Amino acid sequence: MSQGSPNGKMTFKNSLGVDVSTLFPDLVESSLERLNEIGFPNRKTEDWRYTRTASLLKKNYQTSGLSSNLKLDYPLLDKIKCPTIVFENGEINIAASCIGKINGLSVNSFNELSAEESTKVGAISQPYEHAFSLLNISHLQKGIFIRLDKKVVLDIPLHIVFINSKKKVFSNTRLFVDVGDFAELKIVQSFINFEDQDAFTNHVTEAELGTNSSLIIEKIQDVKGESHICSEFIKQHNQSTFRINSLSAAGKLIRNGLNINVVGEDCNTYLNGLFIPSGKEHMDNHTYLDHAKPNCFSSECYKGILKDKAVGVFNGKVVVHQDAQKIMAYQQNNNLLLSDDAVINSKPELEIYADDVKCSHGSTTGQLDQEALFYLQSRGISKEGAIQLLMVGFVEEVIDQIQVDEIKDFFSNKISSLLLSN
Amino acid sequence: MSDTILKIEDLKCEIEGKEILKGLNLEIKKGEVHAIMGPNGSGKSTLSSVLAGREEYEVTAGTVNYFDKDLLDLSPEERAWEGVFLAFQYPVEIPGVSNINFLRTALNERNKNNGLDPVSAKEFLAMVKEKSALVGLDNKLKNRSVNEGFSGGEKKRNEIFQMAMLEPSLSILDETDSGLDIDALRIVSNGVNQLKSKENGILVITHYQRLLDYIIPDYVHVLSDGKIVKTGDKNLALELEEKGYDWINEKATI
Repeated sequence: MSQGSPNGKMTFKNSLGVDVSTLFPDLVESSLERLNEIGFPNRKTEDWRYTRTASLLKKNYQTSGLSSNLKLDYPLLDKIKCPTIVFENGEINIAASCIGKINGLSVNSFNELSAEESTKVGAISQPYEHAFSLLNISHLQKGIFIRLDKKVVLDIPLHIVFINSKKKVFSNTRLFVDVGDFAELKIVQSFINFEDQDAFTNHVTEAELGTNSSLIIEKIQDVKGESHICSEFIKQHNQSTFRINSLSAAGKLIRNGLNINVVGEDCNTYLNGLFIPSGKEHMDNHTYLDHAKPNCFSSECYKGILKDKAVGVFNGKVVVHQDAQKIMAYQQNNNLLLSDDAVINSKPELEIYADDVKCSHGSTTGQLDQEALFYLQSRGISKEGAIQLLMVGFVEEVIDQIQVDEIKDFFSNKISSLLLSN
Repeated sequence: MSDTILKIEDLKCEIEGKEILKGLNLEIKKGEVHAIMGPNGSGKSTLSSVLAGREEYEVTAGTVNYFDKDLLDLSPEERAWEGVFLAFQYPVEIPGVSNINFLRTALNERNKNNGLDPVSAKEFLAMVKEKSALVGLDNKLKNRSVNEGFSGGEKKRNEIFQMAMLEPSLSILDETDSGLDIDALRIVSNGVNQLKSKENGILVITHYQRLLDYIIPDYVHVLSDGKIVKTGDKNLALELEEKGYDWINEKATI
């Protein structure tokens, strides 16, 4: 593997210091082969132009296993108790998890899948030939297959926590979410670490949404000091609804890559995100949405508040294929720059091959509205309070989309405290 | 304590090096309504901006005393805490900030800074109900984002609603009549009249006389080229309306 690449880029097996996966041997082999052919993105790769990953692949990482007594000291974790699955350093921490028995919901480790389930893993992500997804499969530590049976509506969210508790950890984890026809599932994914760790998380979620089903993902990334690549590959069948709200609160480098393949008719897709980088943090949100079939609706709203020397990226691409008539696709990215040195790269893209569609995209970037600030002050709100009100107002549109009340409260509080720390 | 709320003496101010106010004098006592009229560019809006504490304006000479305090020394929010209120000519739309939450924040910050207890939710709601009735502000508007999607008339009503909630000692109404049709003008003026008391003062800044049919001033001042060039009672406004501002300018140059 190490000498497979003609351009010499593919020595990760040795240099990253972690082993290839023993799960899904065939997939591992084909992924490594493919990875050797395509290589990792470099600065000439359009999709990764603003987010450089080369230095990530030169470091030496470790897989450091589980802590004997993991303390989950994070505000959200008090609020959402069961069912919760905890990943630590890429492994499943059974002791810290609490799954219980819920009718219609099955949660299985990738080590214990049926033949049918096994064939599903990778099936949605592999056609994209995404380098980090291939790396994820080939170095996969642990994964979970979540299945919600037909017609089961689960009101309580399933909480999945990803913690890196040691320094220089390389965590490769993967979820496969199989939502049966007419079933409804909410998942909260919390990526957290407690200190500056120089870790590397490379997570992938695949999900398949059956007819008339609904999947909501609330994603929180509070991973100071971590490099974090998180990719979703979603396949939507007829009349399904997929919604994801992501909050990137802290992280040295965060890259969210959403790949949505809407293969059914009458589907709804909502992609929303907030990113609030500070210091020299870098946060990138890429979305790629394929409308293959007619009569679907999609809406994207990403908002960034950037301070210090932070860098933000938004690249949203919607492709409306020739047969996908009557599509409504809306895309919006608004950014607030709080310092002269903060940078945002915003690129909304529409590619339309059908002739009867309604699509729009827009991007705005600016500073705080001074007139609004003065207005609030003139009513007796201190300057600091007014700035905070304006920033909370700016993100309100995204907060409003959150479907799980505990998460909504958490988001609001988290944002207030992030913004207060200015 | 004296009856004087506001005393402006020889106020000069400039923006970007251009002098706008050139020695303005004005005294407002408790229970009085003053109107300042003047042609475009005479400095009307500059005066309201300086009084409310807009940073862009640089005061180069003169004093502004508000009760026993130097008003120019206070930040915009401190002025509000002390009871100064500016009804904006162009109220700002603030998406995502709820009209009601923002007012409650404003009230509580003021109370906190004045050493008072915060307003309870119950008191606050009762107050909102009572005060919004003054200007017939639609219930839906109260819960929407500040001024977002409001019509011109709704924005002005919202200004007077906020004035009612904050109960200021000195209210400055900056061209509150602009953009109002005759019905809205009547409603807004009626709201202002109900808020008038023996304890507070109102400064009405306007280009046209018609507002003064509804809010009857005790004094009318004519502002021209940064100075008050004539003061009279409400009849001065009528005379101005009839003869136009050129009449004043001619007289001033004689």
